[in-house]
Amino acid sequence: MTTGQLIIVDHVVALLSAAAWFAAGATAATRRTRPALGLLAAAVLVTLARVATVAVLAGRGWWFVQEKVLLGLPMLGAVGLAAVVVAGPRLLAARRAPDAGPPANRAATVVLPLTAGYAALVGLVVTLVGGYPVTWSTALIACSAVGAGALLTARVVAAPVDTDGDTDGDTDSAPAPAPQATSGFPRRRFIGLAGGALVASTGVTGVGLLFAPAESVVTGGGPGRSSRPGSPVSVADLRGAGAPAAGGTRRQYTLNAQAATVQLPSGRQIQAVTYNGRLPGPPITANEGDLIEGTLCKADIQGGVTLHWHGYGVACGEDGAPGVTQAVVAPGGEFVYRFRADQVGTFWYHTHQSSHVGVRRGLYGTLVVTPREQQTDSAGHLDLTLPVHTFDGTVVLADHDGRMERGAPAGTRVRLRLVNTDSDPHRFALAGTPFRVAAVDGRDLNQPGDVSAAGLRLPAGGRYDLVFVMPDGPVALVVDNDHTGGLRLRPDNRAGTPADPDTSGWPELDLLRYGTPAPLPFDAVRRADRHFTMVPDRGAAMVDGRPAYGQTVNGRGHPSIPDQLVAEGDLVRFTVVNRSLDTHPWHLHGHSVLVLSRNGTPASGSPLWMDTFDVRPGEVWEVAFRATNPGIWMNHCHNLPHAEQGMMLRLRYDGVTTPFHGMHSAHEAHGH
Amino acid sequence: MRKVFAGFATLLILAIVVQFFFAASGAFDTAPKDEAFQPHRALGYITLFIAILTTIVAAVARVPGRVIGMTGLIAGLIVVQALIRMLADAFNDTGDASTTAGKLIFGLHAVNGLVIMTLAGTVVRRARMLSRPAVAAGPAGASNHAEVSGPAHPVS
Repeated sequence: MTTGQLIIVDHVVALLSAAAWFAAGATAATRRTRPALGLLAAAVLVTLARVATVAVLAGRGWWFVQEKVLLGLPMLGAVGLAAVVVAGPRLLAARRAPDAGPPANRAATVVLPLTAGYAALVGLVVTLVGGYPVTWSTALIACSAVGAGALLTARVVAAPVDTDGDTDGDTDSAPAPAPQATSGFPRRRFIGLAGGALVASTGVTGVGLLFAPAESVVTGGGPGRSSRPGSPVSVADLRGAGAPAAGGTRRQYTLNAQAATVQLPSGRQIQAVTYNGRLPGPPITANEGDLIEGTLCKADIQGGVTLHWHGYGVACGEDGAPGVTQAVVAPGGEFVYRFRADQVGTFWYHTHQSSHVGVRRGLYGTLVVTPREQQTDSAGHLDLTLPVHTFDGTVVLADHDGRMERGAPAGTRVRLRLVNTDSDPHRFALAGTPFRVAAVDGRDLNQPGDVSAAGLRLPAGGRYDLVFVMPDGPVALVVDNDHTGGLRLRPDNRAGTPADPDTSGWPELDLLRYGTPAPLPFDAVRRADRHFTMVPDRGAAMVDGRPAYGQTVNGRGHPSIPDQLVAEGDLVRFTVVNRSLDTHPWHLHGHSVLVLSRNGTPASGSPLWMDTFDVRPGEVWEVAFRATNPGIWMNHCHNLPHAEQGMMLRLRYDGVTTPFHGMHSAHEAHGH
Repeated sequence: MRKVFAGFATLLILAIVVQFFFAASGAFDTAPKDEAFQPHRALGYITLFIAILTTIVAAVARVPGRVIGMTGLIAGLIVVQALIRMLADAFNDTGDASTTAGKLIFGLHAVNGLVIMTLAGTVVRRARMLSRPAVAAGPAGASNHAEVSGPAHPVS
């Protein structure tokens, strides 16, 4: 069973345990002794089952169970045990001697099982809302909530008002005055008041602790901020090269960000926001060593726009992260991005301002850098760049929303550059020929082997280069098992291609075991200078100054997640643990990371460098990189709505500062 | 206090009705699910909050245990609504695409919604009955002297 499935099972068992305790209490309240006993036994059994699921989950990692082991289960265990010890014998006695009437002390038989139900429910809520790591604040609020529930229940049970005309003479349940009123009522009242005060003060303390300031940086075990001599470096001064390498040319692109209505080949019209009025934006291509100069102007987009070069190791000042590496380009503004194309491969660009809307509506395009000697346009080669994007539920491959057809003579060397510009993964399948995955995220793999009849899961923001030699027959690239779209390559002009094979059952190619191992540039498992653990999850947190049920990292939301501090030259290791039930495509700007392991199993294929890796529910990824690109870099989930909902932090090089004022400075008048 | 309870119960059922409206308008929106169902999700949290408040008010107002239980059950079932969505999403691995298992599980979201609606209707009816002076003056009037009922401001 995968960890993701285990998490679901644990949630279900937790809910069942709450339901069982509530049912036991409610049944006892209706004075049906026999079913109450049965339900009490069931509650105990389900609670024990919960202990078992938590124990199994603990085997997958402490991150998955911390709040359950330290808070949820102890709370439930204590109250549940009290319920069994106190209510059990009373119910049993009542059952053995039915003539004696229902158990006299209803506080014991009703309040305690119900309180166990509150504890079980609060434990589940803590798991879903509080997450990892559990805080004192969460613990105090949780205890306070259970206590408040118990007190309120006791108050109701001790003095019920029964409009149904309850006349069975149960003295203890009569409102007042009870026989022992003179001594009992003040005592009960005292307990109620004292309990109420305790519950209130606990809750208030817990809520107060919520406002305790968080640390602003974490160092991952390395040294803190240095007080190095000399002035700090501003990201605004970390700019790209001004001239191409020897023999290279200057490639100038002007990108006008503008709203446009774009018609797709099927005739469907898209109300889009675009670069230069087209979908995708103009393809940016260069040879290795060329200078790319992208001028973003007009920027006729409400809220502003930027250009982020996804996966490309640009200097930090060219990174296009608004409020961090530059001010957002407001309507009428302009920004010139300049960097040398030293990295060969498939990349893409997109806006980083309100990107969850902007990218989805069309502010993206591809960036492809080819080796200088390679002539991809020459005869015998076919090089297709295929960004896949979803507009209003329609999957668009490059600029086609239906099937895309191309002719390619047998023997043609084909390279398909797949780019996922969506926020969710896509599944590709290539039918009709064996192929190789030559590159992942713009980095060549080492001796990749032939693959056939395998599905390729491309993470949001990721790229795969598929290469093959065109066979005699047709080749089909199928996206998401949808045979009405995708790409067909035909060696001739014969009409009526045979039906594609059903690709939906093809197993998924595991890139961690694909290709041939090669010596690694560093030993990050033993030699890392800094080690940061990130636990993405859903949870209640402050996101952009507002309380939200957002997407969190280590229990916090942007911009309250501490910055990760590194020094230039550090070997940095990340552990990314997905506690949630969503997939999180993790993306660090400005660096490619080397994948070390997934769920504790080391990568055994070609060295795998990625800039966006899919951490699926319950997965634990270990990755590492050398900190050689100074700056302040966004480090976030590339499911862009998740990033918007808080799943975004910064990696900060020691000694680098920013003059810009946060991600939302464009449309929020912060007076910094 | 019982008038306050009746007010809260009415507010609760109104919120639930609007939830049905948001669910339908989200289903016919072409934006991605995350965005299309944003109002439904936001009001969902608010509805849960109202349900919990209503339960607490019911307990403080000392209405019959059965009514308190039903109100609490509504709060519990609203939590279940969120869990059903979470479960279905977990089965639908790739965002907006759905698997058969995911669809089947998610169908329960609508059924559970109807159960919540029915329960809320019952609670409102009982709350209205309880808040009528004729009933309040009966055996239930005993609780009216309790200091907790305080300055009750009828909501409806």
